[in-house]
Amino acid sequence: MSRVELRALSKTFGPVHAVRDVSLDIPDHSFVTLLGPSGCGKTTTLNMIAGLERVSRGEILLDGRPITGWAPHERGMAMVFQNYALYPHMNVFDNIAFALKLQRRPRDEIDRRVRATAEALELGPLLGRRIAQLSGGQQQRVALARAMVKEPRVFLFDEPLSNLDAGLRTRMRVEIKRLHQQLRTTSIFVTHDQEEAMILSDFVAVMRDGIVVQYGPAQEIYRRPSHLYVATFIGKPRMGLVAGQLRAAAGNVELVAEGLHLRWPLDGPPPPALAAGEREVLLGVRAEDARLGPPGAEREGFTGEVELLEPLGSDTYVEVRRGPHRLTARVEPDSAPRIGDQVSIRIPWGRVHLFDAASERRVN
Amino acid sequence: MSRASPLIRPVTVYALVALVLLWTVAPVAWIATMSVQPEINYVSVPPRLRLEQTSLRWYAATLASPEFVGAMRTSALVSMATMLLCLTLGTLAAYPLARLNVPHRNLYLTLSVTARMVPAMILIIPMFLLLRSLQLLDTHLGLIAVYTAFLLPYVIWMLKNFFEQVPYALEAAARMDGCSRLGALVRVIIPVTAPGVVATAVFAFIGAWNEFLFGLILSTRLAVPVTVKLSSLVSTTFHSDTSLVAAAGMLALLPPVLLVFVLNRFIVRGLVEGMKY
Amino acid sequence: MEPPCAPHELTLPLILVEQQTKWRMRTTLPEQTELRPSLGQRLHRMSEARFGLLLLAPAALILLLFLAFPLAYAGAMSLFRIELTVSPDWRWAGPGNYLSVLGERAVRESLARTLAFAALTVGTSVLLALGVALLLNEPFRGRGFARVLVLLPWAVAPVVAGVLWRYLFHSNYGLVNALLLQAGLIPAYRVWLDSAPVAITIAALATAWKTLPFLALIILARLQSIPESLYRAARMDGAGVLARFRHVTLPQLRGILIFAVVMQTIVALQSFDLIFTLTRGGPGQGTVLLSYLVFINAFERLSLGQAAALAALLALLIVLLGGLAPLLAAGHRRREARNE
Repeated sequence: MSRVELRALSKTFGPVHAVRDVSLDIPDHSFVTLLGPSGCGKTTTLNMIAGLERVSRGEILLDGRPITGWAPHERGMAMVFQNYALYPHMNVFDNIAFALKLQRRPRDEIDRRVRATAEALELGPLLGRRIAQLSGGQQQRVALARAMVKEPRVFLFDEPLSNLDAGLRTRMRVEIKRLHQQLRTTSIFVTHDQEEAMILSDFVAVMRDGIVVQYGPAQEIYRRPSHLYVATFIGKPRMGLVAGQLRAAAGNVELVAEGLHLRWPLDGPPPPALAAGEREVLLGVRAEDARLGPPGAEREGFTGEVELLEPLGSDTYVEVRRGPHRLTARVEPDSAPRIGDQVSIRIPWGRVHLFDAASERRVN
Repeated sequence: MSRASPLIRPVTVYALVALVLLWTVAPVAWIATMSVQPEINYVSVPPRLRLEQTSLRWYAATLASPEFVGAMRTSALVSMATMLLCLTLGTLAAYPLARLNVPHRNLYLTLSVTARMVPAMILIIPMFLLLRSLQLLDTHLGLIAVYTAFLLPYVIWMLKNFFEQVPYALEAAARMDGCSRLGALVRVIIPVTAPGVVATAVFAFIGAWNEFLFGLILSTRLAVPVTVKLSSLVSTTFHSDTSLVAAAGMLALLPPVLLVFVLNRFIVRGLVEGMKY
Repeated sequence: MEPPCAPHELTLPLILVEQQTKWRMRTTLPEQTELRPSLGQRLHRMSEARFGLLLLAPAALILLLFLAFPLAYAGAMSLFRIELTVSPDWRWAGPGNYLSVLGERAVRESLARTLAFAALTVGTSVLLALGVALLLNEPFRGRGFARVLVLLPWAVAPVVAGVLWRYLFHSNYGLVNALLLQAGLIPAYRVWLDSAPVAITIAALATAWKTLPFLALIILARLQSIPESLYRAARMDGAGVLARFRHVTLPQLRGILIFAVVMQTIVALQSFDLIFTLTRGGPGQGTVLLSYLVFINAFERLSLGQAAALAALLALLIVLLGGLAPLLAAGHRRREARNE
C-alpha cells in the first residue's frame, strides 16, 4: 500500500551535484537501506523523500502519485533522526502526542494511542519525564514511539543508531528489525554501517558520490557485487584483491600478476569476460571463500607468509602475503597457523569476483 | 604576593565589590532619596536626611499631573507596540536569515550590522519631513514606526543568533510531525529559544522606552514620551520643587529597571548570546 | 531504578498491531486537486528562497521606508543649501556644505571635543568593565546578587542618566559636593559643571556608568568560557598570578575587548541624550559634541543642508572608527599567524 518510487532524482547545490539521477523502486512492506560513506548523498536523498529538501530534478512517487513538491507534513511519513531531535520543551507524552495533536485527533484517541505505543516500547513509566532526564537509549525509543504513533505510510531513518554506544546499538538494531517484522511498514534507512544495512534490510542501495552504484536484495549485494566499490565496501574483513592479466590458455584460465601465475582448469567454453581475449582485471575473493593449506600448492592459489592474525573467538582471519599481494582467509581457531608460517592459499574459481581494471565493473 | 596573608584576598575582593556596587547604585539612590525628602533637607549644607519627613507626596503630585501620566501612558503604549511589532517582523525576518537558503543572505546580514552604526542624528530631519507628509507627526503610530525601524536591525540580529542554535533536525522533526515551516517556527523554534526571545523582547521594550531624540523632534503635545517629558521638567522646573523632578525621574526609570531585575536570568544570557557577531 | 534500556524480548501486543492496521486505514494522503493546489498548499510547497524573501518582505519594507529612505534623503539634503530662516527653497550647493562645515571653527573645536570625549569614555568604560568582569568572576558570597545589581544602569535611559549625574554633581544639592565637603577635600560646594574640561569628564564618566554593565557582561561571559585547563597548564609552567593574566587571560579576551572598544566608540560618537539633560551643551559651547552641533544647526539655526552635511561627516567618522578596530585586529592576527 505504500510503495515509494524515485525517478532520476537529482539535487544540486550550486555547482555541486549532491545526488545524481537516483532511481529506486521501494516496494510496499520492504525495508530498504541507503548505504554509503558520509557525503555520498544518502541523507540528501532521504531528505528529498521526506520533503525536507527540495528536488532539483526528477520525481518522487508515493503509491503511484507524484508527491515531488509536497510539503513534508502532507506526505504521511515519519522520520527518526540521528540525534533523536526530541522537543526539549515538552515531556515524553507530549513529544509522542505532538503529531496527533496537530492532526486534531480527539483527546481520548490521542491518549489511547500514545499510551499503547509507549507501553509497546516500554516507555510507560517515563511518559511524564522531561527529555533531559532520559538516557540515550530511552531518548531513542521515544523517537521511535513518536514516529510509530502516527502510523505513517513510510518510516524514514536517518542514521538513528550512530549516536549510541556499541552494546545499545546492537540491541536497538534488533528492536527496529522486530518492529518492522510486526508492523510491515515500508521503511527507508540511511546508514554508513554496512553491518547494520545487511542485518536490517530487504534491499540495499549502495551509494557513492551521489550515485546509486548497486541496488538489490541484501544477499545479492554481498554475493554478487556489481562494482569493485560495492565489493570492497561491503563485508568484513574487506574483500582480498589481486590485480593482474586474465586470459584463457590451453584449457585453463590464467591470472598473471606481479610474481604470480594462478591457473584454474577450464571445463567448457572460456568465461564471457574473456570473449574479447585477455584483459586487465582485479580478482577478488572473500575471506570465507579462500582456503588455507600446507605450503607448496601453487595451482589455484599461491604460497605466502602469514603476516597477521585476527582471532575473533569463533573464527580467526589469517592474512597471507606474497610480494605485493595480500589475501585473507577464514579458518577455525584451532587450525590457525602462526605468524611467519608459510602457508598456501587457494582461491576456488567458482567463488571469485572479477572486476574490469579500468571500469571497475563486475565482469563475471 | 598571594602568600602574604589569608585575609588580604577576601578583604580586597569585598572592598572592591562594595566600591563597584556603590558606583552602580549611588546615582539612582541619590535621586531616590531626593524624591522622598523635602528639598530643604538636601539643599542644606551638609544634607540632612530626616526619616520622619519621608513622604511619597511628590510621587502623588507627579502622578496627579495629567501631562506626566499621559507621557507615561504614551511611553507604555508605544514601547509595548514597538516590542510586539519588532518581535513579529524580527521573527519573520530572522527565521529565513538563520535557517533558509535565501539568496544574498550575507548582504542582508551585513546591512543589518551597518544599519546599527547609523547615528540617529542624521535621520531626524528627513524623518521629521517624512512623518509630516504621512501626517504621523505627534502620533503614537509615528513613534512606533520610527522606533521599530530603528530597533529592528538589532532585533533581527539577536533573533537570528538564537534561531541558528536550534538543531536542524528539531525543525525537520516538527515538519515531519505535521507542522508547516511557520508552524515549526511557532511551535518548536520559538519555544526552544524562549529565553532568547524574552531577552530580545526586553531589549526592544527598553530601547523604545528609553528613546529620546526622535520623541523630542517628532512629538510636541499629543504623543510625548516620558523621556522627553522628564527632560522638559528638568529644564523648566527652576525654582519649584526639585523633589518633583526626582520623583518623575524615578518613575521614568522604574519600568525598565523592574523588567531587568525580574527577568535578569534571561537578559544576561540573552544579551551575551544575542549580540555575538 | 531505571527501567532496562532495551528489553530482551520486545514483542508488540497483538492488539496494538491490530490497532495500527486500523489506524493505517485512516491515514490517508491529503485530498488534493492535482491541477490547482490550495493557497495553503502552494505556500507550503514554495521554494525556500521565495518563501524566505516573502518573510523578509515586511521587515524590509519598514526598514526601506523608515531607515534607508531617510538616510538617502539626508544624503541628498547635504548637497543643497537649505536655510529655512531665509527661504524654504533648496539651492544646489554641491560639496559647498561640506567645505563650509569643515571650515567652521565651531566644528573643528567640537570635533576635538568629541574625540577627547570618545577617548575618555572608551578608555574609562572598557578598563572599568574589564575590572568589574574580573572581580565578578572571583568567587565571593553574594556574587549572584552583585551580578544582577550591576546591570542596573543598563536599564536606565541615557536621558535619565543625564538627570541622575546632573543631580550627583549639582552645585546646590549634589551628593558629590556633600561627600567631598564632609571628607574635607573641598572647602565649600563647587559648581562642577561650569568648567568645560570637568563637564566633559563628568559626561564621559556618566556615559561609562551607563554602558559599563553591558561591556562587563560580555567580558565576563568570555572569561567564564576560558577553559580551566589553560590556567592549570600555566600554573604547571610556573606562571604566577600576573603572568597568568598576561599570557592566558588577556589573549583570550582580545577579541571581546576589541568588540567592546568598537561598540563603545560608536556609542560615544553618537552621544546626545545624556549630554542634553546633563549640561545642555554648556558651559558655553563646552560640551557641544558633533551630534549636538548637528542638532543645533538643524533646529536652532534651521540650516538643514549644513546639518545634513555635518551628520554625514559624523556618520563617516563612526563607520571609519567603528570599522578600523576590527580591521586592525584582523591585520594583527594575520601578522601573528605569519610569525608562527
